[in-house]
Amino acid sequence: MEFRSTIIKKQDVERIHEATLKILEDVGVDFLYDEVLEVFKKHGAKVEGHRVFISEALLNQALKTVPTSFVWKGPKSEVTIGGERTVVAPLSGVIEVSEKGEKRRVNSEDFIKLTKLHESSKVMDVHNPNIMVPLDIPEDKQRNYALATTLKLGTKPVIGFTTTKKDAVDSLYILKKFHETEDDCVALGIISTLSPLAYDKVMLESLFEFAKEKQPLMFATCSLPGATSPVTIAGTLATNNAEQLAGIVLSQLVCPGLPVIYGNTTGSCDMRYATPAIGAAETALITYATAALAQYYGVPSRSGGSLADSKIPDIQAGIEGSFTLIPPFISGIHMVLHSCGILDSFNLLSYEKYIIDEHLVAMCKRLAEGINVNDETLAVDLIKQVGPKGQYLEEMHTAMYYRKEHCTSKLFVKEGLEVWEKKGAKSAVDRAYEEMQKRLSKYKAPELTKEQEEFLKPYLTV
Amino acid sequence: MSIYQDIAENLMEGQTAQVRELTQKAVDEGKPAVEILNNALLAGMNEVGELFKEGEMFVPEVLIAAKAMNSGMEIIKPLLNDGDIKKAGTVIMATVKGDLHDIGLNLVSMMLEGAGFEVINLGIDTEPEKIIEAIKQYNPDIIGMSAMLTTTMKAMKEAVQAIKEAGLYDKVKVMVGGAPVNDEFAQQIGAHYSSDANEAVEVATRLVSA
Ligand code: B1M
Repeated sequence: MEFRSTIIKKQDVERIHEATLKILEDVGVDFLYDEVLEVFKKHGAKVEGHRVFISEALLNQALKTVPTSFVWKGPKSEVTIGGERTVVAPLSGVIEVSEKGEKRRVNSEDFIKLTKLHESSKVMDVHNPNIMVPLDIPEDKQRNYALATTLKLGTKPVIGFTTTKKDAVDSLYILKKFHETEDDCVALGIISTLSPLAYDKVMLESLFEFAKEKQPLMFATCSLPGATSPVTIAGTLATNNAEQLAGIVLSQLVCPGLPVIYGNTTGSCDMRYATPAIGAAETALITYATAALAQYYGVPSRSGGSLADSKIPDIQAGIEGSFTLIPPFISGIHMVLHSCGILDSFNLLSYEKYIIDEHLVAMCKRLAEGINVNDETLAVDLIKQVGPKGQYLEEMHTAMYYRKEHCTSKLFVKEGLEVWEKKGAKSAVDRAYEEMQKRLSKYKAPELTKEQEEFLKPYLTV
Repeated sequence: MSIYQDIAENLMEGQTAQVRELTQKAVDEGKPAVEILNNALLAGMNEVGELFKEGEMFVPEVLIAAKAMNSGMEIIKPLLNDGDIKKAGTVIMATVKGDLHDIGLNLVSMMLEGAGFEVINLGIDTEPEKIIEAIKQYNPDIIGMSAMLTTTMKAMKEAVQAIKEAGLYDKVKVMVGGAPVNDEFAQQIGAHYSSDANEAVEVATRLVSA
């Protein structure tokens, strides 16, 4: 996908790259898992304790084998990561949910509800069993229950687990078996970096499990500038980039040609509290840079979506979400995680915001599509025909092109004030709640084969 | 401006070298160490604390101010009597087993230090055994635990259990915090909850004076 923004200039990308090379060669990256050190040693990298130093030559060798795109299959649909479309993916790991101003801890009911919304969504392309931990399910069964429930309710490609080695092994087994495949990509493993400049053991164990099964990986950096990376955006990008590239190099040494994604969801950090400030202009800048850097290395890219720190679906949430969801679409990011519904710096899902964010995704797609200029859209003939002082409402051209050219939504209030008042004076948030109820009442579970049902049953019986 | 004010103002700006120099100057001028402590260093740091609470000062500024204060402390420490510095208490801090988040842990630790506590920070992924060992070694007033994952909250419960089994529960107070933790959970496991670093300092202060 072509990078369309001029916010990050080519020479800036090159300078960030040069700084990154210095970090990789002179500072090193800690890999807290012995098996990894053996891999690096075997390929001639300098290793001191758990610290690995990566040369430019080794980096370039590894980057050569990274696929520029790959197909990720789900039970009934598939997506291409690295193609022309920005793939839209769910949020991850919320601790609480809110609707109608009430907040509660997550459980299996909410897990099912959000998964149904993802399945019935026109903009959501994939599923994620990490959306929340179903706390009412016995602890040792939570992960597999979540994954089996996702497969029972959904038809789109599914993210796997990397939270423990066992979670990774189980999710790979379940996803491959359910899809009855050996070779296709049917699971995506998310490998978090431990900023600054480290990877922990659990993530690395999971990395090996995914590589063993030839399943794609996404490297995910989420540093807090000023706390776990330099406070300056350029310095943050340099350390984030070094973490990304170190992980990508490892993946290619373990399994050359393994599909990987360059992922960054670093935002700002509010130093009044040292807490993440994800709904920020800096998040937008980092997203632009992520697209540019990933493109520079020829690796598919990933960013965050409509990110907000606000605690309720209010004007702050709307501004924060817009600021952060527009950049991935106009910069050509290949995958957007945490696309819809996030509040409270990743901790809270608002159902109403989820529905509103779906519309925001549609608006962003419309924005990124740009202006379609051709004879038909310029419509000079029609302009001649209607002439000065005429009107276009009754024209076939209007009826034909309205839906194509204009992105509308029933959610947003556009009618006249009095009309709106007479209809109950409902805000976009009120309407979003109603829209959600309607969607849920219409949801129909996909048809599974007998074998698939039998296969999922033990995981669902808790 | 008095030299005390001068020290306090430089401290608030995090001017480590100046605070060291001015403190030395005050000592050389014959000012009593306990007066330098209370009227300059602690006065400055208290002001910093107030401004932080009001959102006027930022975390890194508070931390460099604390560094500046320490540079002055080093000079007057040998001149102070035993009772002059009131140590608020000793706290052992740890992120529980299986959890790697430590930004909040470190922030709470630093704020406690700023409030006069001695803090032993055991870091991330801490096994209950290590906590027990540390209690035996340091004899702290408080054990503070942090958990950021829903799935590691249970490790907090297990740690409290281990402290009870080791017969140490009556000797220490347990504090907990972190994004998924709340008051209800803390009460369930027999611990004291705080939602941020400021509150943690308040709770810790209350616990040691109780
Ligand atoms: C003793 O007394 C006390 C008293 C008060 C105490 C206290 C103790 N401890 C804390 N407090 C309180 O005072 C502090 C200061 O005011 C506060 O501390 P906080 O820690 O809350 O605040 C800090 C100052 C700033 N806040 C933070 O540092 C946490 C921010 C978020 C975004 C976050 C970060 C940065 C990270 N993460 Co993680 N991470 C998230 C977080 C979401 C969020 N908004 O909280 C959360 C917690 N992470 C999550 C997840 C899922 C994960 N993370 C992981 C990894 C990481 C990073 C390494 C990338 C990084 C941590 C870096 C580090 N060095 O700590 C993975 C787990 C690793 C592990 N085993 O621990 C991984 C599993 C992600 C993955 N798939 O790879 C989610 C938890 C979901 C859940 N339901 O459990 C999460 C809510 C984000 C999300 N939605 O996905 C208070 O809570």
